[in-house]
Amino acid sequence: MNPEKDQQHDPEAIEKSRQQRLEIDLAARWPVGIFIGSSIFWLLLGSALAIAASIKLHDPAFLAENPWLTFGRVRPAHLNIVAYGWLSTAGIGIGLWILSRLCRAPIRDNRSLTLAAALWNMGNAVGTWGILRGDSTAVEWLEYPTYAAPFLLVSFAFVMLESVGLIRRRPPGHIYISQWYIMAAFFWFPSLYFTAHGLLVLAPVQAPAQPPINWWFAHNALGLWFTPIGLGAAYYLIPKIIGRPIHSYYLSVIGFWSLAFFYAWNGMHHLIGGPFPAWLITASVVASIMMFIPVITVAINHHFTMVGHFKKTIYSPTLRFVVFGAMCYTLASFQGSTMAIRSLNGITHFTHYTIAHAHLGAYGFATMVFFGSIYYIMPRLLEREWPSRFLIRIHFWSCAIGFIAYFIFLSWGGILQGIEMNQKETPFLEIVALTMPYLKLRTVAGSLMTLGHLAFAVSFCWMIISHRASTGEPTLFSKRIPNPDPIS
Amino acid sequence: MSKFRYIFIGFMLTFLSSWVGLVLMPVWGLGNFEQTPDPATGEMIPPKLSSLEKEGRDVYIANGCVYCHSQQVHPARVRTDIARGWGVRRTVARDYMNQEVAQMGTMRTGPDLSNIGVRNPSETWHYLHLYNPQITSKGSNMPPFTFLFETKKKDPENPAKDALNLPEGFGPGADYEVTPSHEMRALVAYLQSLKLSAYEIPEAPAARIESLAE
Amino acid sequence: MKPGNEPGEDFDTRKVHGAIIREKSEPSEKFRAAPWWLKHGIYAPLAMWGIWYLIVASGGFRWDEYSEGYFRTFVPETTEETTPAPVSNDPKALIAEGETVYTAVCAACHQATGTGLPGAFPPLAGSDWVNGTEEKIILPVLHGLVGEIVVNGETWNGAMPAQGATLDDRKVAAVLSYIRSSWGNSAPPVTPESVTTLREKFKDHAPWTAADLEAALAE
Repeated sequence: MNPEKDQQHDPEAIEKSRQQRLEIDLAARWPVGIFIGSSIFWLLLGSALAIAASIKLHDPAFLAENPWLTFGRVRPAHLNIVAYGWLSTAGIGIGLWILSRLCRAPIRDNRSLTLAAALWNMGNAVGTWGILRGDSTAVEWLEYPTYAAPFLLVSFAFVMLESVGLIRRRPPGHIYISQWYIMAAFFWFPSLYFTAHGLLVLAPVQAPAQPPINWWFAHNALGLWFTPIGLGAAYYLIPKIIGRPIHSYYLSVIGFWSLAFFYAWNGMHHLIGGPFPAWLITASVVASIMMFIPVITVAINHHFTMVGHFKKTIYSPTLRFVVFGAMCYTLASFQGSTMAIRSLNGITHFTHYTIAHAHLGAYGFATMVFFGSIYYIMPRLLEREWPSRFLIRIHFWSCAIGFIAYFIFLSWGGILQGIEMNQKETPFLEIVALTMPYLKLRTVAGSLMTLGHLAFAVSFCWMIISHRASTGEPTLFSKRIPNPDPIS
Repeated sequence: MSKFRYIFIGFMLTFLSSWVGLVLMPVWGLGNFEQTPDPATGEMIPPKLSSLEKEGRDVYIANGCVYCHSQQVHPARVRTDIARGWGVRRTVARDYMNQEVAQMGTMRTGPDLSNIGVRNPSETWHYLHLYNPQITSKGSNMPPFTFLFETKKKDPENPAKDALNLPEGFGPGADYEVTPSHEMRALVAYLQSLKLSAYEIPEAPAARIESLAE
Repeated sequence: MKPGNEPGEDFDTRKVHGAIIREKSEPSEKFRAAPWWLKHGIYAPLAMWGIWYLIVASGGFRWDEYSEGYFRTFVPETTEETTPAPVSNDPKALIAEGETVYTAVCAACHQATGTGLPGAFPPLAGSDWVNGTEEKIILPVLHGLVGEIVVNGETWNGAMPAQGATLDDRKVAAVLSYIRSSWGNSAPPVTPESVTTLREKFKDHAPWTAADLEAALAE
């Protein structure tokens, strides 16, 4: 009944499917490779700006003389670079590759996709330059000035065209859940960006209506763009590595539809207490609490798929990054739902706690899953193995420890800040002094994360320039594998 | 293709539902405010920004003030905005109608600025504070905006009238004088115009009562 | 691209790429039903709560209702009755009120402890102006003060903004009473009535200068 199952026993079918995968990977080599390679450049630049912004918060005189490097420009530059330079660029590459694999169809027009990658990077470069020179729109998550938007949208049009082509060329039969997520993301993101940029920057609506559109966009950039790509990748890679089907198709489907509906309505919880009618806020509070449905569903589905195979995270870099990311997804969503409750929001809103939460979603989940995906994809695109297990270890541990520390410090500082802000007797400058140690610790933790990124970048460049032929052996965390089952 | 078509229509419909609810509805319900006459003075409120104030708002936007300063007064239910003197009532949607670009913000590394024009009307204070926040607010983590000031060699015969009176330990030294640039003047004009909830509008009295009641 | 690897050509995958060989087949899904406890224990209660909260916390779905309570929405007229608490002219109450006004309006320049800022803003603590006649400080607060002034023998040159438009008579009296009784100052409190009198007498006066003020006070 299941064609995949038969394949495993029929040598001819196995050979055919391998050949097909090889064709797919060869066709994807340039476009996907460029998307992923350039995303790592933006990751490094984004990290550098992050550290600069972090230092500025406890040492305000740091690099303050130059208008290009004032806090109010470095911070949005960091956010946009990691969101559109790193996460989106890597996400497009990863999404296209997985889609191509699952549609059993090679990417056909890799010239237009290479052009798309070039345009996308140009858009990011122009946008970053615009923010730093003072053309930022100061609309959160949408700071790239108008002259950067056409690059991004035209580039994305090529990506959408190719993804539709892949879906059309797929053989008849079951549509795997990752295809749902990735296709949805490829359509949602441009719709979001086009609407928000149009109504907020190009032809702005009256100011009172702007924040709802702003946060509809900003929350959905995470919820309907990074999240579906990340979940699509996790849904693809977990069963792929452990060699086991997903626990339940029905849970996958419930998870998809409830995410599609509820996440889209989440944004207004960023405006609780603000000058907006109660129903608008309440609609998002309800939708945020309803996020428990897709999150619990997906967590159960992933958990029951993984059960009995958690040991493999000891060896497989991909699996360890992806499982770490999937766990952070559950945590981030639970936390997000609780933060939308009005009384708790009264403490956490306007504080560093929100920043920590945003990083749990965008870093702990999306970034870690993307790291794992890149560890899986690159050996297949380049027909080479990762050059050094040591660098992968450094990458994982710096990022994981750095991130956990980052999250704890900043959340703790944020809670204290929120509690004190609600005490009218506490003078404001005392609150600033109270958060100082946590902001300093954040710089330390962020530097550790950046160290991990450097190890990753070195590893990546080394892989590209090395001429070592593939040994056929995956680069795993540990040399000794007790079980001969191949896992990467 | 047939099956995927349904999935596609489905996920675009869920998206459309939020687009209608959170984009179209706010544009329709919060995007068409008109000024009303102030019952006390008869002036049209909320007031419009002058061209200098608009320039100042653009400086505010370009330098990302919004990442640390909100512009929204919350009701006194949980927060202490009103007790801290950030405004006498919560802000309502109409208060922002003439701002053109909403800078409500989501972070309070620094205090709220909705009514900074009321609660801190001193131009001198703003210049000193923006030149180096440590002068007026020791321990603040706000960056100095020295690049929005002009530093010139002092002409002892003809000192600049608008030179800042910098305390010892700040500024370039006695031989130099520091004057605000045009951008800085515009920025301070904008800050002084921020009086978002300092007047009464029809939907505001209810909000005020709610703030007092709790 | 190595020769022989182009799509469609014959090749031995074994020689080409280990990753493809060790790779498991493309993922598939089992068709297990969702567990009952998930449907009845999680989905259903969440959905019921969601509908309930949407109804009771949406302020009647009105555009001008900012407070989420459903029942409060329809009774704004009755809450109008919560008239301000009876105004007490007790100096202690006045001083307590004044502290709030001071923190909100004055503290940024004159600092929380009334020390002022050397070179920019004159001190209030121990100032001969603050501890002098009440007219000398009521008028600058109402209309502003510009130009050179002398405080405790030191010359200052700044601009005090007018507060008359934003602070009512009671608030002006409150904050001045607070200032005159804090940080070692010990002048008698200012009454709202004297503020009202001066406001009437010098209606819409331009910001004062020191000379101007002396002349007016000498009258």
